[in-house]
This record gives sequence, C-alpha cells and structure tokens, in this order.
Amino acid sequence: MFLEYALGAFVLGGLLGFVIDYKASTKASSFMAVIGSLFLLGQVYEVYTTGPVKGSIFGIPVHVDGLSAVFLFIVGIVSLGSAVFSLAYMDHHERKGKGWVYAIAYNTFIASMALVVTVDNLEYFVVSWELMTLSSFILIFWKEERKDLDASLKYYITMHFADTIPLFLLLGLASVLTGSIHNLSYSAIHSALLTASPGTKAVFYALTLVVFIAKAGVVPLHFWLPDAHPAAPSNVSALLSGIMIKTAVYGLLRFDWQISGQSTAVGYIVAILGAITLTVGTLYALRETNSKRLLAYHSVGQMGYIWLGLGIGMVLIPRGGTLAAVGALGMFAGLFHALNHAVFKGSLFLEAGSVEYATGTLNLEELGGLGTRMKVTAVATLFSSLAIAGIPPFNGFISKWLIYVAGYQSGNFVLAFGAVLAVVISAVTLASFMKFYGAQFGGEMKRYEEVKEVPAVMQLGEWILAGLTLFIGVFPGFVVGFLNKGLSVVNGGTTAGVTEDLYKIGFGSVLFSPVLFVILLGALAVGLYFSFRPEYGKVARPWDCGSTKIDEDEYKTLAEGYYRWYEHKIGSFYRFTDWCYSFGASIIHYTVRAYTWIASYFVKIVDTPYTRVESVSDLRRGQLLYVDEETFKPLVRLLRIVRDVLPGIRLGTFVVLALVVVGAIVGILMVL
Amino acid sequence: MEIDAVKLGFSLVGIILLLFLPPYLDGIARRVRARLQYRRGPPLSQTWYDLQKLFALPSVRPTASTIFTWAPYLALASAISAALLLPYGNVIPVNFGFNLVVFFYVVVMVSVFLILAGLSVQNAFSHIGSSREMQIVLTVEPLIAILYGVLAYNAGSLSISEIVRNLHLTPSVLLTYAILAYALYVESGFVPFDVAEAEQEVIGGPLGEYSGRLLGVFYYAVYIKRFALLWFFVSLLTLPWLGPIDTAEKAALVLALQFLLTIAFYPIIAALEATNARLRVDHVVKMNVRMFFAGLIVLAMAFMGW
Repeated sequence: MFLEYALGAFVLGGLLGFVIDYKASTKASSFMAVIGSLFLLGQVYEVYTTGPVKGSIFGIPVHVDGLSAVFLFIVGIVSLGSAVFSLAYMDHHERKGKGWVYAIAYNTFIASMALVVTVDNLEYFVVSWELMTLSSFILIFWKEERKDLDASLKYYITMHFADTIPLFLLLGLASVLTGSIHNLSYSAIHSALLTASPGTKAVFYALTLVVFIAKAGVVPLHFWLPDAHPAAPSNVSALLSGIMIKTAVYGLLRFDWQISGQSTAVGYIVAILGAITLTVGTLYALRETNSKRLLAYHSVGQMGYIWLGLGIGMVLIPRGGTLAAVGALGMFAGLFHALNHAVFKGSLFLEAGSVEYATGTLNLEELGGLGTRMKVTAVATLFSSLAIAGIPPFNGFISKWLIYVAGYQSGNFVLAFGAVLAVVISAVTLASFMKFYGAQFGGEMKRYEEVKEVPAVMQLGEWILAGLTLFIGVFPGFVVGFLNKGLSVVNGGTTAGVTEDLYKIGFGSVLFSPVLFVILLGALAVGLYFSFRPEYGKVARPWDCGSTKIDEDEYKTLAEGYYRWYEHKIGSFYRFTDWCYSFGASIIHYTVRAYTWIASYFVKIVDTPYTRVESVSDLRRGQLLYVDEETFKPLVRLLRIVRDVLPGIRLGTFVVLALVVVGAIVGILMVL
Repeated sequence: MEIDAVKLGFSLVGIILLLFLPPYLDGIARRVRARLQYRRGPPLSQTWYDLQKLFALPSVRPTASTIFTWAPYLALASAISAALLLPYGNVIPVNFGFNLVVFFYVVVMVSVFLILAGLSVQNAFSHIGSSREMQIVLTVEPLIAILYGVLAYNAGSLSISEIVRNLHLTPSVLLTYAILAYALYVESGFVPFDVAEAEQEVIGGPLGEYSGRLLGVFYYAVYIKRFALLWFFVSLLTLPWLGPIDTAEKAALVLALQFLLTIAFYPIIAALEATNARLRVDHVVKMNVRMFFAGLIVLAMAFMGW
C-alpha cells in the first residue's frame, strides 16, 4: 500500500532532522517529504484506477475511498509543491536554527493530515486530528518572533476549546451510541445513528459543526486564521491554507452528511455561514497591505465559497427531482472549489514566500517593480491571482461558476442571495488580487534593482501548483470523474449531472467550453499581435508632469489607497463587523479569564503566592506548582527539615525530646 | 448543407458588424454631440481615421514590462471573443458558452487587462486610473449579480438561449431591464462614468503611458466592448418577445432589428454624454451602491412572483 510507504518516508524525514547541520537537516527532511507526497499521489492513482482500498497500516485501520482520494490528492499535490519549494526556501530562516524541530513537525504535519482523511475509525481520527493541531502549532510558533507569539497561542487555545473538547465529547457520545469504546468505526457510528433519537442527532451535529467551523476558519470562529497563517514560514502557510483547513471540509462531508444522514437544517446553516464567511473574509482581505495576511483573509473568504456550495447541496439534495440535481451540482462545485483553492492558494503562499526570500519583506506598501526582476515568479503569481479571482480560463472560474449556477437555479431565495453575494465578492477578490499583483510586480523601482530571481527548485515548487491552475481550468474534464466518485461515496451513489466532455463543462444547457475559449482568445491575441506588431520608437521615463523632486520609487499608488473610496462607502459594513469582532474578542477574553481563574486553584505561583492571574501569559511568568505537587509538598518539606535538622542536634536536646515523647505516650495510655 | 451556409452567412455578417461597426457608432456619437453643441461635427468615419493614424505611429516605451506590450492585444482579443458570443439573428458565431456569467466575465477581462496595463508602469496617474476602473467593476458587478438572479429565477436557467425561450413578462423583469441599462452604461465607461480614463484629471489613467499603435489597439478594444454590451442589451430586449426564430428570413429581420436598435440607441447615449459632466469617483461608487440596494428589492419581487 502506497500510504504505508508514504508514512514511512515522513517518519524517516522526521528522523533525518537529527542531522546536526541546519541546512542538511532541512534539505534532507524536505526531500523525504517530496518522496512521501509522491507516494500519496501514487495512492490516489491506485484508488482512482482500481477502486477503494481498505487495510491497516502500522495497526491503524484505513479505508481510502473516493472522498478520501480527493482529499488525499489535495494533501499530496500541495505538499509536493511546498516540499520542493522548501528544499531551497528554508535557507532563508537559517539564523533561527532549530532545523530538527522544523523537520519533525513538518513531516508529522503532512503525515497527520494524510491520516485524518484516510482513517476509518473515530478514535484514530481524533488522534490524528490532535496530532495535526499540535504539529501545526509548533510550526506556527517555530520562528519564535515576539509578534507571532500571541497568534500561535490564540490558535492553540481556540483549537483547544473548539476542537479538542468537542472531539472528546464526540468520542464519548459515539461510544455510548455504539455501546463500546472499542467499536468506533464510521460504519458502526452510522448504523447507530440511524436509530438514534433526534436529540442525540442534534448533539452529534452540534459537536461536529463546532469542530469543523473552527478548523475551517468559518465565521464566527475565523479570528485565529488571519494571524496564525502568516506567522508560519511560507511553505508551511501553503500547507495550512492549502490543506489543513480543507480537512474540515472533509469532516463536514464525512460526518455531517455521510455518517449522520441528510439534514436540510444543517444544510441551511452551512450555506448561510458560507455566504457570511465569504463576504466577511474577502472584504477584510481587501483592506490588507501585508501580502500573507491578505492571502490568509482570502482563505477565510474562499472557504465561504466552498461551504456555500456544500450547503446548497445539503439543502437541495433531500428535496429530490430536478432540485436534487441542482443540489448535487452545488455539492460537486463546493468539492471542486476545495481542490482548486488548495492549488491556487498553495501556489500564492509559495509566491509570497519567494518575494520574501528575494526582498526580505511582505509589506505591499514597500514592494514594487519586481515584474521585470522575477519574471518566472511574476507569471506564476499572475496565473494564481487570476485563478482565485475567477477569471476564465483558470480553474477558479470553473468551480465558482458552477457554484453560481447551482445557487441561481435553486429557486430558493436564501441560496440565490448567497449566489448574488458570491458574484459580488468575486469582483472584490479580483480587486484584491489586482492590488496584490500590481503592488508587488507592477512598475519599476530602483530599490529592488539588485533583486534576483529565486533558486530553480523554488520556481519549480511554485509552478507545480501554478501550472495546475491553468491545466485544470482548460481541461476540467480530467477531474470531473474523480470528484464525482468522491461525491457518490457520501451521497449514496448519486453523482452530479455535470456534462463531462474533453472540451465542455456545464450543467444542462448552461455550458462553457474552456478549450474553445482558450484557442479563440489565444489565436486572436497572437494573430493580432503578429499582424499589428508593436513598434517602439523611443524609450522614455514615465510622465510625471514635469516634477523634479519626486523620488521615482514613491511615484505610485500605495497599496492602502487603491480602493479607498469603495472601502469608505461600505464603511458601515466594516464598523458593524469590527463591533462583532470586539464583542467576540471580549467573549474570548472572559473565557480565558474564567479558565485561568479555575486554573489558579490548581496552580500556585511559587515565588509570590498571591499573584493575580488574569491571562495565560501571567501563568508563564513565575515558577509553578501543580495541584498534585501541592498535595505532597508538606510531607516533602517535613522530610527536608528532618534531613537538615537531625545531624545538628545536641545530646541534651535529644534527651529532652525523648522524655517529652515518652511522657506523651504515658499520658495517652493513662487517659485511655 | 444549406443551413450551414445560412449560419456561415449570419456569422460572417456578425463578424463584419463587430469589427467595422463600433468605430462608426463612435462617429455617430461624436456627430450627435457636436450637433447638440451647435457644431457641425466630424464625418462619421472620423474615428476610423483616428485609429488609422494611431496604428501608423510608433509607440513610446516607458517600461520593459512584457505585460505593457501584450495587454492591448489581450484586451482586444477578449473584446472580440465577447462579441463573437452574441446572437446575430439566431446565430452565434463562436459558441464557447452562451450564458450570462461567461459573457460578463469575458467582458470584464477587457477591464482586467486595462488595469494590469496601468499597474505595469511606474506612474501614479496610471495607478489611480487602474484603481478607479477596478472600483467601477467592483460596484457594477453587484448590479449584474442581481440581474442574473432575476433572469435565472424567471426563466429557470442562466443559459441565455433558455432565458430567451422562457422569459415571461413581470414587473421585476421590466425593472431588471432598467438596472441592466444602467449597469451596462456604467460598465461601458461613458460620460459621466468615465472616471478611469479622465483626461483632464488623471491624464488618461491606465492609458496615460500608451501612445501610437498600442494606444490604437486599446481604443479599438474599448469600442468593441461598448458595442458588445449594447448589442447584448438589444438582444435581451428583443429576442424573448419575438417567438421562435426558425426561418432564415425571420432571422434576417431580427438581425436588421438588432442593427437598427443598436444604431438608434447610440444618439441617446451621446445625448446623455453631452449633457452630463464627469462624476467624482466617490459619487460613482455611492450611486452604484444605492442601485445595488434598489436591485435587492427587485430580486425580492422576482422571488415573490411579481
């Protein structure tokens, strides 16, 4: 089984981290991650050609069916791009040291995500999920920069409250349902839930939804994401945004649709949360001027698209008839967008990493003029930017378009309004990425004249993913069957009626032929170019109205000012969501306060016993005693005193003490 | 074989129209504007002469960027692709996806290349122009999103041929026509919505650094885009109410109607242009945001069956 080899490669990659030299350890472990990702892709190919694989690796029961294969493909392809990229990129962080920590965490992270989407048992799902959270936390925290400390803590605490606790409650619920903690396979839970009471089912839905909302970064539990993703090194950010948040999509389909059975109410929740999330995430991204934070907010936004698509499916599929077909299309489109988002967002984070590698900054206000210096990266960024903005013929267009078709043709006001928002926000995404591309690569700046293109392996890593955006966009037919296999697993055999053709994709009479479009556009552009070749007369500097005192590097629009009027006009939106944000932040603040208040009864700060404990950082400050240590402390203290005092006692004192003890015993006996 | 010949004929007429008519339409507009201002005005072919002149001149090169050189050609190719997707009579010259979303995205690509072109040079005025163009797209797209909603609900599909077949007349459809007209007018960048290329303010915006042949290519792309949007509007206005077009004669009549209506709309546009002054960019944004909320009411009406 390929998966076994893949896990072996990741383990070996982690162990290779113990090579002392930083460069050797990061390179060796990244190389093993490349091998492991290739094995994962091999596993996907095996499942695609020969059908589901069931078995056990290292004692863990796995079942790689169609749905797992889709997500395993996401894990494999993004890890492949990121790992190839890491071969050279990690040199950038050399002065941080700790190559071995990176090596272990990076390989564990990929391996745990591969396990999350393939295991066949709730116990192992929870274990791999926690392993994923832990290793990603280490990677986010890895740079140990002061500004990132809070981001990583926020991530970890959120995951504790919203993921770990519900997951363990879920374990309890499932073991009650199936009657045994040793029988938590998905099929057992499924059959137990078939006869469960509505109340139990509701609890099951609530617990799983909280877990997946938090992990996916869906509003209202998205606040950790825009801080945590940029804090990690860029190759890890690609994994976080490309893969990790997709495991929540996997979980949603697996637990809230396949295992629990169909529910329209959950569908509405998912669709509405999706519509809200895509709006909030993307409009916040529009204001960002740090390239990785901008991308992270877009991850929130694009996650909204995916949830909207899945939600449309969940609402409409139970209705049956033609609406079910529209619903299946929506669910298909959501799954397709998950795949596409992994590809282009992975690529975008790698490109942001390349720019950071070459110039040392992520600030869009400072950057500029890299288009002529870093041509390969610039074209890759342009491809991925157009893909996320949903411009044909890139992959993002196809999946977004299918989401629109499903939403608009649903005949349901809520879902159609979701589709309206999706189209509106698509324009915002375009605006945001015009800024992202223009601010980094547009113009020509003296400041960056010496900048060199990044090493070839990094370019290769970017292009593995950027090339796919165009390939899937032009030939979507290649993935339709693959995705439909995944869909049929969770849907009891129903697939989306997507017109599957080498040169056409669509639904019913709504069709698009990307191949024809590319040929037409390409032929026209090249034909026009060669029939009216551009003739350049002279070279001149850009016209600056005759000014003599302008620093040419500053003769541009700052990233912050691009869409100022638009942001100003929708300011009430920002004010409202900012208010919601501060409301949420205060809830979290008080939760943490309560938590530390409870914790302070189990913990004693040694040097200053009555220190007020208000936040987690207060606990970090002093030397701590835990409650179990506290219990034995008096005994330990007594023994210590005895040990210190006994050797120094004089004879007289000893005699007096002995007399007192004897007198006491005699007295007690007399009383008795 | 005969049907193919007819189709080929209609396609050919369509291609000739989309390539040669747009500059003449601009000529009409200039003439009408001149008459409204008590001037005699240039001949109808004046825009053609201008383009010829620009095509004959070499360009000045302000940057080494490849996008700067390629953007005009890509924009023109997108504009022509969009126009090829429209029905001439009942024939679509190149049908790569005859539905609302695809058509509008191909049209938006003209703006995308214009924006990229503006951002590729180190010139603050070009950047401002690009960001203004983007803000127009940002605020027009919501209106178009709503119109997808009304039409798709009314006709049950996003495919334009289905819409033509199944659209039934309700008050919401009439209001949608009004919103569509407004949205397309803004999208075309006519006065008072020509904030992106405002000559007097931002010296041509994204086109500021362009000259000679490359500028000519861009202008041509913009004319074709305007033609495509107008032709789309005219088609959506007429086709649903004319019944099935099954004979070549009827198709020819429809084509003639489309042609005449397109020409008839241009003086109206020119009159609006001549009697308005350019809005400030924040006014444009504000107006479009208001229209969006008006549009939401129309969408709600559509879902209530009105």
